[in-house]
Amino acid sequence: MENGFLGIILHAHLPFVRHPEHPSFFEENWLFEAMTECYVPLLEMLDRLENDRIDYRLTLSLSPPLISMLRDELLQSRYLQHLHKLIELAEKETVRTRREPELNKLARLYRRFYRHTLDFYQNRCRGDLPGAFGMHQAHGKLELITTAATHGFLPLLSVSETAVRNQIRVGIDTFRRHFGFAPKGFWLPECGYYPGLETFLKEAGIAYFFVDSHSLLNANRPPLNGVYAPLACENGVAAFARDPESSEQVWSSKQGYPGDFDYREYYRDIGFDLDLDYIGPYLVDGHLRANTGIKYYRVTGENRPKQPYDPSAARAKAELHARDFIQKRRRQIDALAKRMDRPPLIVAPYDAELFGHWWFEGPYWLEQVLRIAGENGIRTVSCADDLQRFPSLQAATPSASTWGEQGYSSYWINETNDWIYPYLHQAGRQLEAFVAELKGISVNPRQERAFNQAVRSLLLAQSSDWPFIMKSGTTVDYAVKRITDHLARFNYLYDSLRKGKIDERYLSALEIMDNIFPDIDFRNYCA
Amino acid sequence: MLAISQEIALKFSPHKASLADAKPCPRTDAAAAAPSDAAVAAERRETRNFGYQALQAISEDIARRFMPAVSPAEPEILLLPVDPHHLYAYWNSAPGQPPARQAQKPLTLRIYWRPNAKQAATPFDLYFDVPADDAAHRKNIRLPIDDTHYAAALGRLNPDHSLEVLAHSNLVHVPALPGSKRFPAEISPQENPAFTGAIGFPSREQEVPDAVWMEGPHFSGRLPLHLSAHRYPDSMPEFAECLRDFGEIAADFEPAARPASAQPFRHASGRGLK
Repeated sequence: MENGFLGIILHAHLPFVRHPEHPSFFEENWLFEAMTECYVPLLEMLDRLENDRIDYRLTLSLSPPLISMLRDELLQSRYLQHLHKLIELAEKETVRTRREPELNKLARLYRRFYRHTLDFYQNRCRGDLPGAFGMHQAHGKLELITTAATHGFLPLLSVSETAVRNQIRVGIDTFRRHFGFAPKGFWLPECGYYPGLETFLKEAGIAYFFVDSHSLLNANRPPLNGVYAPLACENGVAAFARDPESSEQVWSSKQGYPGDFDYREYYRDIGFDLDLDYIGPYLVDGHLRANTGIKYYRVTGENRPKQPYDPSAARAKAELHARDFIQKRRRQIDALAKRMDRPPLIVAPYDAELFGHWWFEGPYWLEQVLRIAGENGIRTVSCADDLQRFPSLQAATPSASTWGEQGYSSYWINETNDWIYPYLHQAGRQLEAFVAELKGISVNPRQERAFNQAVRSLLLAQSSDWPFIMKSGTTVDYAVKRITDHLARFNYLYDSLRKGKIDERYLSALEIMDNIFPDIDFRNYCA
Repeated sequence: MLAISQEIALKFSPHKASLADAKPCPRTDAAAAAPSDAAVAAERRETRNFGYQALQAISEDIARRFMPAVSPAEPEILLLPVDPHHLYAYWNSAPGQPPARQAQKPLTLRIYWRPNAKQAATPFDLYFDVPADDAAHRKNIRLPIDDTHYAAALGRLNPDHSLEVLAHSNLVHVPALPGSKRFPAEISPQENPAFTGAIGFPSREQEVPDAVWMEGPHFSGRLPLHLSAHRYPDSMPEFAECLRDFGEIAADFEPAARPASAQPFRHASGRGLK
């Protein structure tokens, strides 16, 4: 019997950033950057592990907006344009840097990297990244799960059970439509849990979810195995908690691996360094400076001039860090196993976009972790595996919590973003009351489309990303614009339905702009 | 701009069901005047060919005319749990009453401690008062005790400290502060992997800092605490002690900036992933 287990979970999510009303749009680059630097490298990693017959398990949560965008024809087409421009820029860089050998080597590396990404995306994946992830799930190594429909922050939507239920149900329906099966696990957006949420998860057929450490430690009964074994809520749905130690090793800005001086520096990009005349054609608007993805320097350290990036040294460091990570898990497991009534399970969840996008060497580090875990007596598992292996769980209800700053809801409700909640709650109540009124009443096709579109608008407004961005202060204008736009679109549709005057042209335009959840049925809103 | 915004809000705000009493809006005859399927299909084909500018124009028109607005029919108050020691309240007071009458008595939030959520509220529930600003409509409220339930009433405070209640809130539970859980001695800290700092959860006291927005507790001036030893013989001293420890700090919530208008939008100011 194994001494202990390691469950690595990646949560992949981006807000729905699709803008057909513009020929190109800055925020769509969020998706393209993540595809190039994170999702494609992760898929390549999975392919390599499979080719080498490595015995591993990994859990990947794919959010419904992300799945929808990755399968969207417009965005797929724009991504190809984006990649071709990157290849062209890298080509230009090999010429510009010809008298700087260190940078020139890197420019050629980027050219290879983008060409290879294009080839992988077109020929290996056929432009379908969810499909490629689905193949790894079918091969039994990757467990795919999902999250709420638009990543709604459920603790602050919980004033309406219908709103919470709808976020969960539409999320799972979307996943099922794309992958052909229902997920066993559910990623609570921002790990936002409150007692009672498990009721809706159970209704939706979910077997387990994740919470932050303090959620289990403050459960209504003391967790006998701490955060190293799941608890069963009263209805049997299992709650797995994040291990703080393995989280800190990766997440911490000071002690975490990604801040190592040999790793690539994220914040030094030629999009900000080079003349606008030169770099302009590769920026969205020609003049709005942004990351291009071509970065020549390593972290280097504070108060020192940035040194050129050395990919070999960075890979060697990633291998070292992978060994360190596994050794620390080994010691952790050995110490825990003596005190526990079952082999400990270390749950290590991370945002997928950390790997490759923020931490360029992250996918390689993860690959090494998955390769050497078995050699060190650690079995990697999914949480569904763990439940199958140890079906008898201690019963207790976790405490309300999130994985955000301070551990609760304050990141999503504070002076920067609190104004959104009266609007979100009001729209939810209006929709719920209207749908309830229509029970047993038939609607014509156009009305049905307007109702469905109103549900989409509300769901898009509920995304946790908007209050998150408002608090983080990054792209605040965009977040404010998005939430007010979606609420206005909801108001428009509601008003049109109430008055019985639906403008086909406007409705069609909204369907084109917010084309997420094509199969949604408004009548299920109150189901 | 404000006048235009208010006029649009007035004209286009949908009927709103109150928090307290969700009254359905007038029903439309949904099936009336339904166009034929063929006509709908033809029209949809026709309108599928939008250009960027047409889509932008529609988006901007809707954003301009249907900006979010809250226009309650009845007074209302809603609570949201923020963390172990804070809850957030937003409210609308007497939307139909003239301002002069409203100003006569201070608007107040009466926060009730409801340790036993299953019991119905009674006039003997322990509470403290928080001044409420008619204009702000929202407040972050510091709480004396974690891991318990609270409810609130919105009302006008009389000189004798009785409350003319305008609306009652929902009941909310705030979680326990990490490390504060008072478990029975079922398992010793030495035995529990959860509490062994070297290998498990760091034994950090997760203090909630007093941010500007969360300045402190709020009490009514003269009689902050109302107790009923009959109802809470065991826990009353604890609650009273907590309130005394709090001190008396009044801090009004500064409203966050609302979106001033739905200006046409092109690009965000930031960069990169969220």
